[in-house]
Amino acid sequence: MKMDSDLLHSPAVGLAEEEEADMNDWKLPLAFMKKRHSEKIEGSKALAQSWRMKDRMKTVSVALVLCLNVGVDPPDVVKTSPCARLECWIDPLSMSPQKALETIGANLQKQYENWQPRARYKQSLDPTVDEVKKLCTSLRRNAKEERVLFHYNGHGVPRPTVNGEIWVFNKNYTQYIPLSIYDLQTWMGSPSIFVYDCSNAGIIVKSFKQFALQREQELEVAAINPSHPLAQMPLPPSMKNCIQLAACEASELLPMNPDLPADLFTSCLTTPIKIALRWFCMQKSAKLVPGVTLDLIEKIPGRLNDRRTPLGELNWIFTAITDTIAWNVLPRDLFQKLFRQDLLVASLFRNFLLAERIMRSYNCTPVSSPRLPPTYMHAMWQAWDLAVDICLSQLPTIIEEGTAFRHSPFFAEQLTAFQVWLTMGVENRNPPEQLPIVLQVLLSQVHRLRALDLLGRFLDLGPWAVSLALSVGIFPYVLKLLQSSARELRPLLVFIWAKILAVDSSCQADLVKDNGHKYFLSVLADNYMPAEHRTMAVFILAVIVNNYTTGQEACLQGNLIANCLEQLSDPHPLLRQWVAICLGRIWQNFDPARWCGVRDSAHEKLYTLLSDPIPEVRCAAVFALGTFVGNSAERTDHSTTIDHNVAMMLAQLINDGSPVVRKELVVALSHLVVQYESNFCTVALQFIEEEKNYSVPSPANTAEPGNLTPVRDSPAIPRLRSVNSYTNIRTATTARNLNKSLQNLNLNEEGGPAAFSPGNLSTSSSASSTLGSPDNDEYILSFETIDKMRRVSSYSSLNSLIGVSFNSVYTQIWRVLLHLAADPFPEVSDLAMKVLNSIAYKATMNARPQRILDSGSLTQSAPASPTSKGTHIHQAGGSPPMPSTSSSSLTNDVPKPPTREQPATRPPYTPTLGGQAPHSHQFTRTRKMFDKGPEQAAEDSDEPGGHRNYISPALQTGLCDWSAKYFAQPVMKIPEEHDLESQVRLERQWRFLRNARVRRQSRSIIQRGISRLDDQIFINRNPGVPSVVKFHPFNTCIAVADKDSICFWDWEKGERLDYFYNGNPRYTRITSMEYLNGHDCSLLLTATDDGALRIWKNFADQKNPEMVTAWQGLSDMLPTTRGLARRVSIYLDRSKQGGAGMVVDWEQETGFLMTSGDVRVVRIWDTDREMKVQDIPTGADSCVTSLSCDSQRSLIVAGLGDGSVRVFDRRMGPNECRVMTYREHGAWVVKAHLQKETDGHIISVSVNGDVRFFEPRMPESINVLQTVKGLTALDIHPQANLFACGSMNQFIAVYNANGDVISNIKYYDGFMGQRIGAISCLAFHPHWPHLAVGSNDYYMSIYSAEKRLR
Amino acid sequence: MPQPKYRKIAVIGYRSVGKSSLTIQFVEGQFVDSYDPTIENTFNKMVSVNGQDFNLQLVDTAGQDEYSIFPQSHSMDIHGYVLVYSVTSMKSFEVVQVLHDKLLDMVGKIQVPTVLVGNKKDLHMERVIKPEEGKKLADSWGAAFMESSAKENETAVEVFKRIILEMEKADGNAPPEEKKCIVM
Repeated sequence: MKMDSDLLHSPAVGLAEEEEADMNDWKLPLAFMKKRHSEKIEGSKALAQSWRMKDRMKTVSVALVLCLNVGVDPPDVVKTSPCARLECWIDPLSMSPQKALETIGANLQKQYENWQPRARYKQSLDPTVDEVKKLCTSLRRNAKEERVLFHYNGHGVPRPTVNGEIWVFNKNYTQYIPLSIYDLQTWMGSPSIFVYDCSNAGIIVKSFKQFALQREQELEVAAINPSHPLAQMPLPPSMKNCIQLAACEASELLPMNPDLPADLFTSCLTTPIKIALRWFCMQKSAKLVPGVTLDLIEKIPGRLNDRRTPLGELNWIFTAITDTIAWNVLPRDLFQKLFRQDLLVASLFRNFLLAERIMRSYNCTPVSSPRLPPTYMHAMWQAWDLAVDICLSQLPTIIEEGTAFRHSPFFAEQLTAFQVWLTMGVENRNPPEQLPIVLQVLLSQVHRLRALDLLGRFLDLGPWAVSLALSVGIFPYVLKLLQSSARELRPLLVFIWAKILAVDSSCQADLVKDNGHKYFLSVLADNYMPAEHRTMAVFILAVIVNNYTTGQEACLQGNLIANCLEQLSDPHPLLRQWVAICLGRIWQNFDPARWCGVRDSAHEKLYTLLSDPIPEVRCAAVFALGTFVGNSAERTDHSTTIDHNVAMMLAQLINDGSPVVRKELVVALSHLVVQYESNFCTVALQFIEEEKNYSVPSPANTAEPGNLTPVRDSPAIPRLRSVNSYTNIRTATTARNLNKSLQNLNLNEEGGPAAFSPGNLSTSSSASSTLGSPDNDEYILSFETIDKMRRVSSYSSLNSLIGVSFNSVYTQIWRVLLHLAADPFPEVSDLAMKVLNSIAYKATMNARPQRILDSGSLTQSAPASPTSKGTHIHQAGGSPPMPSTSSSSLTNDVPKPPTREQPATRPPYTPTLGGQAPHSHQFTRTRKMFDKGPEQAAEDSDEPGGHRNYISPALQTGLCDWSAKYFAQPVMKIPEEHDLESQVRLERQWRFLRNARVRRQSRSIIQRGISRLDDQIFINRNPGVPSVVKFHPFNTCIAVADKDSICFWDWEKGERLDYFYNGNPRYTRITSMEYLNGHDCSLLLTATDDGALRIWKNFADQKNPEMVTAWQGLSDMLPTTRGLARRVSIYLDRSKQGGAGMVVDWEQETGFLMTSGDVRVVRIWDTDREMKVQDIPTGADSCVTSLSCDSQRSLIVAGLGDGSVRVFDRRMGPNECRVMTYREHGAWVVKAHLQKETDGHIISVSVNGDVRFFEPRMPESINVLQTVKGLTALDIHPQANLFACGSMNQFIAVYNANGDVISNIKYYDGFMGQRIGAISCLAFHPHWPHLAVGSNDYYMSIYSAEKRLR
Repeated sequence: MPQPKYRKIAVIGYRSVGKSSLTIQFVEGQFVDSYDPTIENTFNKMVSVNGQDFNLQLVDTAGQDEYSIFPQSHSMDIHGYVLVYSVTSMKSFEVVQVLHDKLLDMVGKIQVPTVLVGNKKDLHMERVIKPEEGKKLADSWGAAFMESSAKENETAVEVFKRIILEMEKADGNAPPEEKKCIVM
C-alpha cells in the first residue's frame, strides 16, 4: 500500500534514470563472494568406504549331498499320487535307482557349474554320517578362508527334527541316521553357505541359529575360564558369517504338484530361467499369449550366456531385474554382503528372489538367513513378466517361420525411466530404482554410450550419488571400460572417473594396477579434447600421484611432467590450477620426478603462474613450487641454487591480496625451512640477539610485556568466536611481539626506512598524555620508539652481517616469514608463527645448551608464581639475567627439552631457589605481569609438546583437497542463484526492490528541496570515540568505527546491532571504511593505518561477524608524514597519532579498490583477482588524505597533506598519469571529492575551510567558498548538492551548493541540550538526506532534513 | 534231521513301535535304545521249533502310517507277518488295524499267518492299550496275539516262535501240543 502511494508521488522526471540504476543492481559485480571467501579451505570429509568389499571372497568348494534313496519314500511324508517327481529335471523312476541317483548328482553339479564353473565340486550321494563328515572337513581344509557351499537334498529321508538333525543313511541303507546340525557346523566351519531343499527346512535354519548361539556362549566361557575343556581345544569357528537358504518354513511341506519338479527350490536357485518360463506358462496370464506350450519353451533359441540371443537376453533381463529388486529392497550393507561379495552367493540370492516368488504361489515360503524383506510383490516383476511375454509371443513365428528376433525394449525403457528420474533427482528423494540396470547396460555396446552419459549425470548430483553408484557395484565396470579405445567414451569416462576420485581417492591404487593412468595421460595430451575434460583428466592424475609412490612412478614414466608443462598456459583457469597441483604432487617426496622437473625447467615455467589473475591458480603454483623445494633428497650445489631461486620467486608473493595464496606461501616456505634448518637457525639467532641488544636500554621495557599482552586480549575478543585462531592468545601475542618488532625490517627494495626523529615522537607522546587518553598510549609510543630503533639498527647490522649470498636468501626468507607472522589474516599469521617458533626454539636450544640444563624445573616452577613472590634472586655467578622484554617472550616459551637431565623425582610446584633454577626469577616476574591464573600456567606446560610438533614436513593447507571438492560437487547443475525461484534469488530480488524504493523515495524528498538539515533522528553513545562513520546505502544500518572496533547501529530503531573487534594491533587504528556489495550481500571493509585491509561479513544480523579476507593493502607506510597532522589539531582522533592513516575508495562497478595514505603511491587493487594492478606515484612528499574515483572517466582525485589536489588518469603510465595538480589549498586537504556525473567537478576542502571547485580540464579552481576554520571533517551529499563541515570547535555547518548555510548545529536536541563535542567524523547517507556525525565525546548522532516519512 | 525250512517274515507297524528293536533282540540278543528310523532291513536267523529247523528271513520294514501306500514288495514271497503296535500309543494301535486291512487287500486272501504284537509292555506307566483290546482285535482277525518287550529276549523269541507256529498251522501241519504253548 505504501509502495503505491510512493509511486504516485515520485516525480516523472528521472524515472528512466532510476530504472537504469535499478537494473544496474543486477549487473553490478559482487566482490569477495567466491567460494574461496565463503568456504573454509579444507577438503570434504572422507567418505566412509562402504562400497569396497574388504572381505570379497569366492565360493571355492561345493558339497552336493543328495539323500534320495530312489524308490523308497521316507516314512514321514505322505505323497500325493501323482506327485512331483523330477529331480534336477530327471525322473528318478525312469531308470534304475542307482543310475538315477548318479545322473541326478551329475546334473545338479552341472546346474551349479553354470554359476560357478571353477569351484571344486564333490558329490555325496545317499551318504552316511561319516561320508558327510569326511566330505565337509576335507572341503573346508582345502578352502581355507574361502567359502564352502553345502547343498542338501533331503527328498529321500525323513524331515529334519526339532532337535536340529537332518537325516542321512547307514552303510547298508537299512536305516536313516540323524546328522546333527551342530556337527555339520563344526565340519563346515565358516564362512559357508547352506542350501536345504527338503520339507520343514525352516527348522534347520532355526536350529542352526541356536547352535551358533550356543557356540558363542561356549567360546565366552572358554575365554573366561582357561581350565575349561573348550579352552584347550581349537576354538570352534564362529558361525556368524554363514548364509542359509531353505526351501520352506519350519511348518511347511514342499509342493507335490506333479507339474512341478520335486526339487522346485533347487530348480529356482540353479535353473531360474527354465523354471521361471515354465511357471509363467502355468499361470493364467500366459493364456493371453496363445500357442505357447511347455515344449515350445524348451525350444527358445540361443544360449543363456549369449546376450544377443533370445534366451541370453531373457537371462540378462532376469539378472538386471533381480539385482534391481534386491538393491531397492535390501538394506545397503546386506545388499553388499549378499549380492556383491561373492559371485556364486550373489547368483543364488538373485535366484532366491525368484524362488520366493514362485514357491509362495504354492503356499511355500523359502527362508533365508540373513532374512530378506519380502520381494515377491515388487513392481519390477511385472517388467519381467512383460519381457517374458514379449519374448514368448514371438516364439511361434521364430520357430516356425524363422523370422528374426526382435530385441526386448526393456533396457532402453529402463534407461528412459532413469533419465526421467534424473531430471528431478535430489538427494533426499529415494535413489533411482534403475541404477543397477544402468550398470547392467554398461555391458552392452548398444546402450553403453547412453548409459555412461546418464551415469555421469547421476554422479554429478553429488558425493551421495557417487557412493550410491559405487555401492551398486559400478567400479569394476568403469575400470574395465578404460581398456576401451572408443574415443566417444573418453569424455564420459573422464567425467565419471573424476567424480569417483573426488569422492574416494583410494581408487588410485586400482587405477595404477590396471594401467588406468595411461588412459588419462592420453586424454590430457589430446588437444582436441575440451579443456574441461583435460582438467578432469589432470585432476584424476593428480589424485593418482597423491602420496602414492607407485602412482608417481607410473605417471613419471608416462611423461606426466612434460605433458603438464605444456598445458600450463592454457586459457582455462581450472586446468592451469590442476596442472600445477598435479605437478606439485608428482614430485612431492619423489626425487626422480623433481629432477625430471628440473631438466624441463618446470619451476621456471611455473613462475608465470605466480602472477596469474586467478588466486587459486597462484595458490596451486605456490603449492607446486613448495613441494618442489620441499623434497628431502640430498642436496647438491645445483639443487640448492634452484631452491634459492624458487624461494626468492615465492617471496614476491608476500603481499598477495589473497590470504589463501599467502597461507600456501607460508607452507611452501616452511618446506624450505625444513630443508635448510640449520641455516635458518643461525638467522633466527642473529635476529633474536639483535633485538635483545636494543631492547635492554629502554626504560619502558620492563613494563612492556605486561602491557603488550592484552593486544589481543581486548574485551572485544569474546565476541569473535568465529575467528578461532584467537584461542591461543598468549603464544600468539608474545611471538607476535617479537615479529612486530621485526616485521618492519624493510622488505621493499624501493627505499630504506625514513630517518627517525626523536623530537617528533616525544611531542606526540606528550600530546597524547595531555589528552588524558589511557596511560599506556605512552608505552605504545615508546614501543614504537623501540620498534623503530630496532628496525634501524637491526637493518643496518644485518646488512653488515649479510656477506655470503646464501645467507642473504635465508635472511630474506626469514624476513618474509616474520612479515607473514604479522599478517592481518589470522590463519596466515598463525601458520607463519608455527614455522618461526619451531625454528626459534631449535635455534635457542642449540645455541644455549647451558640454559636448558634445568629447564625441567623451569617450566615447572613457572606456575608457582603465586607463592614465589620472594624468589627474585640472582644466582651468584650466573649468566646475566635475561631482560624480560618482548623479545624474551620467545625464550619464555622455551619448552622442555625432549630428554631431561634432571631426575624426575623433584616434586613439581616447589618454589625454586636461585641456585637451583638460575632463570626462574624472570619467569615468575613475567607471569605476574601476565597476570595469569594457575590454569593458564598449566596450559603452558602443555605447550612444549606443541612446540616440538609445530613444524613438520607435512604442514599443509587444505587447498588441494578443497579444490578437489569442485569435482565432488555438481558441475552440470545450474547454480542456485540462477534459479528464478531459489531462496537466494528471491532474497536478492527483495534487496533490489528495497534498493529501488530507497532510491525513489530519497530522490523524491531531495527534489522537493532541502531547506534545513538539523532534525536529530538518532543519538547514542558509541562504545569508543567514533573515528569513521559510514551509512549502509540501503538499509537502516550505520557502521561506526573507533580505534579498533566497529559498532553497528540501526538508526531507525535506535538500537545497537553489533560491536566487534576489528583485530588490528593495538597501536594501529581504523582510518577508513567502505561497504562492499552494498546493493546486495553487504561486506564491510576496514582499513587501518598500518596498511592492513580487513573485510567482514555477517555483522549486524545476530550472527557472528566473520572475516572474509584480509591483506596488507599498503606496505611500508611512512611514519614521518604522521607528524604533519598534529600541526592541524592535536585534539582530533584522526590526526592524534599523526598521518592520514590509510584512505580508500571503492568502485563497485569494477571491483577496484584504491588505497593510499601515508605512502607515496595510490595503489589499486583488483578484488576480483585479489591482486595489485597498479601503483600510481603521487609525486608528492606528503601523505594522501582523501581519495575519490570515477570509473566512467578513469580518474582518481587525491587530496594530500601538503594542500595539493592531484588528478590521475589511471589509463596512463606511471610517469604521465598525473594529469593535473592543484596547489590552491594552503593546508592539509580534508576531503577531495570527484562528482560521479560525466562532467562532475572536483570539490575539495582544506583544514582552513576553503572549499574549492575544480573543473578537471581547467588548471584553476572555478569557484571558492569560505567556510569555517579548523575544519576536521567534510562530506558531500552525492545527490542533494549539500556539504557538511564538522569543526574542532564543536559545531556542524551544512551548506547548499550556493554556499549558503542551511543549518548550524551546536547543541544536542532537547531542553538544555548539551553542547556537541569536537567533530571527529561525519558522513552523508548516499541517498537519504541524512548526516551522521561522530564527535570526540563518544556521541554519534544522525540529522535529517525532515522527520522521516515512514 | 530234516532240511531247514525257509520262511520269510515281514515286521510291519507304525513308526517307532519297536519293530527293529524286536527284530534285533531276536536276532542279536541285544536291545537298541536309539531311534534311527529304518528304511528296510533284512535279517537271517536259524531257529528250531519243535525239532524243526527254520531258516528265517526277517524283513524289518520302515514304519508305516494309515496313508502310506503299502509297498507291493511286502505282499509277495512273505510267509508270515508280525504286526506290531505299541501299548503306549493309541495311534499305533489304530494304524495297525489299517495296515492289516491294506495287507489283506494286497495279498488278496482273507487270512494270512499273522501275529499281532503289543510291544513295549514294560512301560507300565504309559500303557494306554489293555491286553484285552489287543486280544480282541487279534481274535477278530483270526490271528495270534502276544504282548512283548524288546528289552526282554524271551518275549522277542516267543513272538517269532509264535509266527512260525502260525505259518505251520496255515501250512496244515499244526503241532498236536499246540494248546500247551499258549502262555496266556
